[in-house]
Amino acid sequence: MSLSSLERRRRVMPGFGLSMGVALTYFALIILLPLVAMAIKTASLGWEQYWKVITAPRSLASYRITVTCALAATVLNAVVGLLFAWVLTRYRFPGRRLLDGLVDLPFALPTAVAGVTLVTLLGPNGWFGSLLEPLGIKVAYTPLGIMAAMFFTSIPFVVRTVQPVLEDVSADVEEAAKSLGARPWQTFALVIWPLIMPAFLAGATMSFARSLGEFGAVVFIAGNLPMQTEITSLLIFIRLDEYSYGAAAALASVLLIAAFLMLFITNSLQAWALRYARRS
Amino acid sequence: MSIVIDHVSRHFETFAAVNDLSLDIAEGELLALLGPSGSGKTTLLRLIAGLDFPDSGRIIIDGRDATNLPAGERRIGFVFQHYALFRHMTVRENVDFGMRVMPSSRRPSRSERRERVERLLGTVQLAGLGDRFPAQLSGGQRQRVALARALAIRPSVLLLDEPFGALDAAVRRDLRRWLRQLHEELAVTTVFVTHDQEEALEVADRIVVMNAGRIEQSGTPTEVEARPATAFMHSFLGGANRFAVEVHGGVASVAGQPLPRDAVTLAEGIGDGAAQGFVRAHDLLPLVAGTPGAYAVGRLDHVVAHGGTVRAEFATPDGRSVEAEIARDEWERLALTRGQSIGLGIRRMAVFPE
Repeated sequence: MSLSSLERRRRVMPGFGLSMGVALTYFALIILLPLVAMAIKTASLGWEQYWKVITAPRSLASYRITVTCALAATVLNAVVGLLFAWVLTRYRFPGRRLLDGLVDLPFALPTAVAGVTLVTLLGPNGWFGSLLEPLGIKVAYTPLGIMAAMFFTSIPFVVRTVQPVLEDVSADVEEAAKSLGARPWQTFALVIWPLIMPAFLAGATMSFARSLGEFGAVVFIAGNLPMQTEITSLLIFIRLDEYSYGAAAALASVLLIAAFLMLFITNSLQAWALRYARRS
Repeated sequence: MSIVIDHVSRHFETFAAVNDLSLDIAEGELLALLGPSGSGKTTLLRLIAGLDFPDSGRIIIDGRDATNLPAGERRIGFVFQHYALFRHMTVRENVDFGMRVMPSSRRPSRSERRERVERLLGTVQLAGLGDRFPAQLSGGQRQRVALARALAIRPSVLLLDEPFGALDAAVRRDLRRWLRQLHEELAVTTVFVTHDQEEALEVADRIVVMNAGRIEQSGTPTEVEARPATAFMHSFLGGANRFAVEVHGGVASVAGQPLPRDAVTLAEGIGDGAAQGFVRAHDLLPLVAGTPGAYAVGRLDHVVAHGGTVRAEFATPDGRSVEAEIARDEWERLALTRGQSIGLGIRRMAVFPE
């Protein structure tokens, strides 16, 4: 009796206490501690000063630019990413595995390299830039450039979250819908979409969060004009450079709250969308 | 409704999954497609369903050429081996799906849909479970939801692909019996695929045995079980012992001893020379020592009692294993012990060319 219960408790990892302890310590050191430090720094400003910093016209302009560009990049990424995941899971073509591997390139590439590359391509003398310029489209040093950088650095999120789920939707289920008389768009809307939606949402959220915080790739191509093409992350960097740590922390707290809010909303949406997975 | 399959072939690259196959399925029939894996039975079912299309030949459903009709327009209920339920929908929504996606001109009213779903849930004995999600059901219950979902569109034909394949033995037995009853109530033409001959024998009105994309034999369960028509049928139905046979002038001999003519069925057109003979387990007789007419000697290896009969495995001197099935009291009279050798007689043998 006691032997069998001992057997049952045996796991691959040694001891719950040890593994939980390591995980918690790591979490505290890497995530919690910096957050607390930031909160303390922010609190040192006092409420009035804090409010003044985060509602300064230059700050507000930076939020607007960051959020609009991140939203645009995310929408584009969501559409392109879904398409990409669909092509990678549904079709077999030469070079599919290569393409599959290349999806991760934006993650592997140092963001500064991405930034420089984008400037080379989209700058006034770049390959694309020089073609777009006569059409009156300026990309580099405009919000369009910021979007391009955010788009590039967050492509993999939607692809990589949707892909496995899409692979998991068995051909059976689609054929069942077909045999019951569903037209292709009905099969997609009623059967496939509800199944991939939670993953899609998670991917889009991560893409948005990454775009909100993207710094390296953006600063090269943004032009960084205050009030026009200055993102919040850069403003934080500038405040740090000016030794106004409190102001930097205050601005950072705004990004942080935005990130938490996003996380909360998408988790709730996901929990709702996955309610069928609960067992009684 | 009736289905006519007219010289249908389906190739996958160079492999012929269904090879020039013709088959008539009568209205209201309960037909089993039986065969080993890779025999083309599932491919044939998918061709009937319109989930796949033949390279040549025609499929006529209820007098209408359906060869190129997509699945959704054939009014066919298809039940998948692994249920293929929509896991994000409740049981009720799953069953309702086929009606929900109908064009509004044909779609029943909301109240009628709701009523039909409830009635079907009753039919498949799942009344009261309509609000559950598939993940909250057992395998047998899921399969019944899949069946109710297929029936909801009032199909003219019901097709089931290995419907009980993923279930455990007890549930399977129940569902088989239940499927028979259901078919009697609904009288809808039903075709199901299985590799389990017991299942086919028990459930179907007619069995079509497939091998390598063709029909090997077709008939009622009794016919198929009593008179396997080909060498393949003998080995597929199981329990058949294969002997090397020499045919000469219409007489078959095993190990140099000729068998009586009335104990042998020779395949049509078989010539002289080496052949293969099949003796079913109940036609192989362990003989009391000293009785003449033994064609082989076997050493008792293993015994399984099964109801009123006993299945005994013997090892022959050439290292093969043969199986005999005899009545229990007869077995007890022999009083054999393991390792003991005994002569084996042959009551009936079917002989086919090598």
